[in-house]
Amino acid sequence: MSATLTYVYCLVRSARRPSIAGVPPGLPLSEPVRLVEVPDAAPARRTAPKAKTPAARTWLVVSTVPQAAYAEEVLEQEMQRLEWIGERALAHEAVVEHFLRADAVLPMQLFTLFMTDERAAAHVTRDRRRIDRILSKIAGQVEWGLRLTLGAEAQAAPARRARVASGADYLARKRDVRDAVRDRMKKARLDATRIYRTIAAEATAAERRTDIDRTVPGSRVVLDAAFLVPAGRAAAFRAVVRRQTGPLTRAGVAAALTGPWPPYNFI
Amino acid sequence: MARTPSRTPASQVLDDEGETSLLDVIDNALNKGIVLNGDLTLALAQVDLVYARLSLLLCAADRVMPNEDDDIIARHSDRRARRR
Repeated sequence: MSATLTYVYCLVRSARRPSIAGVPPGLPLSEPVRLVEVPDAAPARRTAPKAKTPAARTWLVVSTVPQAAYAEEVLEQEMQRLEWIGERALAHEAVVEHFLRADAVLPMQLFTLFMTDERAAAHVTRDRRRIDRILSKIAGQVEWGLRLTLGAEAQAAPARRARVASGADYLARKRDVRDAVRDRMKKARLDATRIYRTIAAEATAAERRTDIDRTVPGSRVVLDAAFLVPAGRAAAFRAVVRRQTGPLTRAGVAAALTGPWPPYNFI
Repeated sequence: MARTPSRTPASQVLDDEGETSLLDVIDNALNKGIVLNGDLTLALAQVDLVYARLSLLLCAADRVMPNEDDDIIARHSDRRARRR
């Protein structure tokens, strides 16, 4: 049994070897992050007399971790501590984000571990067709997330105006607040849907992650969406989002645009 | 090594929502990354456990949006169902 494991952060597709200068340190206790090239599936292609454009090559971004720190029993136990997971999820994400400028980057699930580099590469080779299909879809694209939340302030605003003089008043006020909240949510959701469609038209692909109908009563999230956008169009896309969300923000809806993310929702 | 990790490194937030970023990172990395079936993979039960804890934490601290936990768990179950 080996004393170390190969931890895989992501798979990178690029014509040239990606730079690892300034790459974040990786998971706690890991050795420095490095690249493992995955040989092309068909060696026959190399002898073929074409290759006018440099063929894209595939690398795994990995680091060596002590087995004692990431063994199955350890994971099983530590997965109960959100702080432990959170620290590692951030470290994992930071490494993946370093490669966002590559032609395509496929993030691995947290805690993807292999006994050796060779075994990691072999797994990719075996899964080559599925991976190539995903890579071609996300090449040159990054993900942006948009979440719209109706603020508690805006939700409760009408209640403040009413004065309470009796029990009946109190009940009437409660009813009014409930109705007002319902109306505001309804309007905010309609606005969210309209905005989502407009922004989606600017994106390569879009996914509305929250199914509003299924969201439990009381949720103030009116939109939770992910957009796949060409990496070069980030500024234009952000401008569209700002323009669309501006009027809503003034009406008490909080808009959070996050990104650029690896295309998690489109793989 | 820093004890407390910094928030999402390159991902910027336009109108900040605070804690949500960390939860998003966990949600994404744990739930949406490509599954390669490594030599050592997370048991689905473990992933479920994390989500249960995530929701507990959110209920207790009320530091994200109310019901965000339900939302995350609904998404998680959905995705799991689709993968099968």
